[in-house]
Amino acid sequence: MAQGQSDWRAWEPGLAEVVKRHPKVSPFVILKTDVQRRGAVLTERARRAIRPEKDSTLYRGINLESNADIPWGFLLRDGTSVLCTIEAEDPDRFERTREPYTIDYVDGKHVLADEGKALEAITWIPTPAYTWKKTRKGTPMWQVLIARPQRMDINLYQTCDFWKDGGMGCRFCVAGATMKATKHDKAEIPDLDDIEDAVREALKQPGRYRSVFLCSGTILTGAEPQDDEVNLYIEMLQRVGKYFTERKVMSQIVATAFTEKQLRRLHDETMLCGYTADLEVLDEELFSWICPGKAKHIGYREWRERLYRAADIFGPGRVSSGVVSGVEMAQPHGFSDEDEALRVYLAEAENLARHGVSISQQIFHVEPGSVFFRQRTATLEYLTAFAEGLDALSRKYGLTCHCDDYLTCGNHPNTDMARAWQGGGR
Amino acid sequence: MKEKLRALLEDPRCVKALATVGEAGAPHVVYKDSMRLDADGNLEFYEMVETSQTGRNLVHCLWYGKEVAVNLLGSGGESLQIKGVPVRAVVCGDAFEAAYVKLRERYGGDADLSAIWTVEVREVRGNGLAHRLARQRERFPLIGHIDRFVDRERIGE
Repeated sequence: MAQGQSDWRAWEPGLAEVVKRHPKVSPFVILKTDVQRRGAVLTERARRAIRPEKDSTLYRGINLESNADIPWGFLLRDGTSVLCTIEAEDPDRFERTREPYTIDYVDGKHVLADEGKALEAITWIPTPAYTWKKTRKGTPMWQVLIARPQRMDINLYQTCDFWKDGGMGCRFCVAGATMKATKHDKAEIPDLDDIEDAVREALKQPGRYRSVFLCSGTILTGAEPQDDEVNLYIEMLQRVGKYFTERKVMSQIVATAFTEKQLRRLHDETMLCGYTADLEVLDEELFSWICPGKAKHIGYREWRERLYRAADIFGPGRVSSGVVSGVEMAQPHGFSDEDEALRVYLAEAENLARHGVSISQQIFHVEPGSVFFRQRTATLEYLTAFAEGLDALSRKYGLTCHCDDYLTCGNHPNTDMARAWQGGGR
Repeated sequence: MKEKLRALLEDPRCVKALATVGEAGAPHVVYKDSMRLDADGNLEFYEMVETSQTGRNLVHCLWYGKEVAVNLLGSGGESLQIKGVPVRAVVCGDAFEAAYVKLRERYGGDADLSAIWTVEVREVRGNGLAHRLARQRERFPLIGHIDRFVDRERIGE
């Protein structure tokens, strides 16, 4: 049944009810999930109180370009990061099924509010010290390096060969649209010398970073398919790695599913510790519909096999697969029943966990520029139940996620919860 | 009481014990030399070990509104018992980085900083023996060994 912004609250349990139903899930994580699902609007007075020199607003990456005075994420008071769509008040802004949260400015603090009620004070992601500096070639460093609260992000190939293969892009993804909108401002692959300069400068800020993260759209070319992508990662990781005294330093890539030979090269020739290749969808038929490029060039079962090989090489708990949580409900081919979706998804997640591969839950939210921009996102109840199920699986199989937790990533509700148990003891 | 608390926390020889419980309910006690009062009258201290039991327990208590206990023992024997709830974990930003640099300078080696924790103080009471005995006498005058109240002469001592 079609439901608009005015009536969705009557059809599904709200935040307070979901918190009550899931006493084992952090209320902060549930709140984050809901904000990621619905997005947030910044009131005009909240916007005027933003200090770009302190509050991170600049962002250039595969999925987002932001050079305005609007931040792209914030922190809750427990240290949980909330990376989400934040928009200015604008009557013409893109309308989603559910209205967004509000970020207001009250008594000298930015607060997250819903239906006029303040829920939590928030703080913005700090602007990294390198932001206003330039590389030796004169490129502003913020254009080639991103800083989450405790992680530096390098986005290499800022488009994707699946998008270039007509109709083969993942249907929820905005990489193609982002590249199209910014192609006059940026190269498909940022200059590696520029990135290295920015990384070197970033490392001069003590206490700012716990990990180095690299991500790239799929590159299909090379002596063997994806070799060019692998070589790009290796070159960048070696450029970064030479600044450390240790051979292995906390690091992660989110990449295409590589062959065993390619994975061994990444493991043996670089500082890399953690590897992620996103299945996005934990059902073979839906995967083929939602991620046609991945299905055409690699396939669900082969992708999964490559994750298993990766876990053999990098070790259990160091390999994960991202899932765009809720996209499995997309119509007309997706699940129509959330209980059935949960059963199928947790069964497949357990299958992966048995092989040492964990799931990183990312919340599906609709964005203009994606094929699915008119789809409806899942209920908070469903997303929370999935996070709870994934957390239980991680505990059951002892899959820690130090490479991808609330500090070294901060984008996954289920791995945010690992901070309450990973590390051993009682 | 707040001034007593501040004075005790500023005593360089004060022993500052923090007791927490996690999801399994097992109690865990550590000493937090870094504990001090912040501008709002809350307790603030560093957790230096990211994977520590204390860190995990504090996360649990913050998420679910559970209390932690603090016991301060000053160099002169004075003691305060405090109950509070963790309300904030700072994991980045200017204050975090300044604390990180200070800790690295002080301890070197593998010294690190997981979070700056804030515990909102809910209750403070004296915890010295004389104070506790007097408090019990006031609230429950009949509890205790009755020989304390015996008239020694009348029993022939």
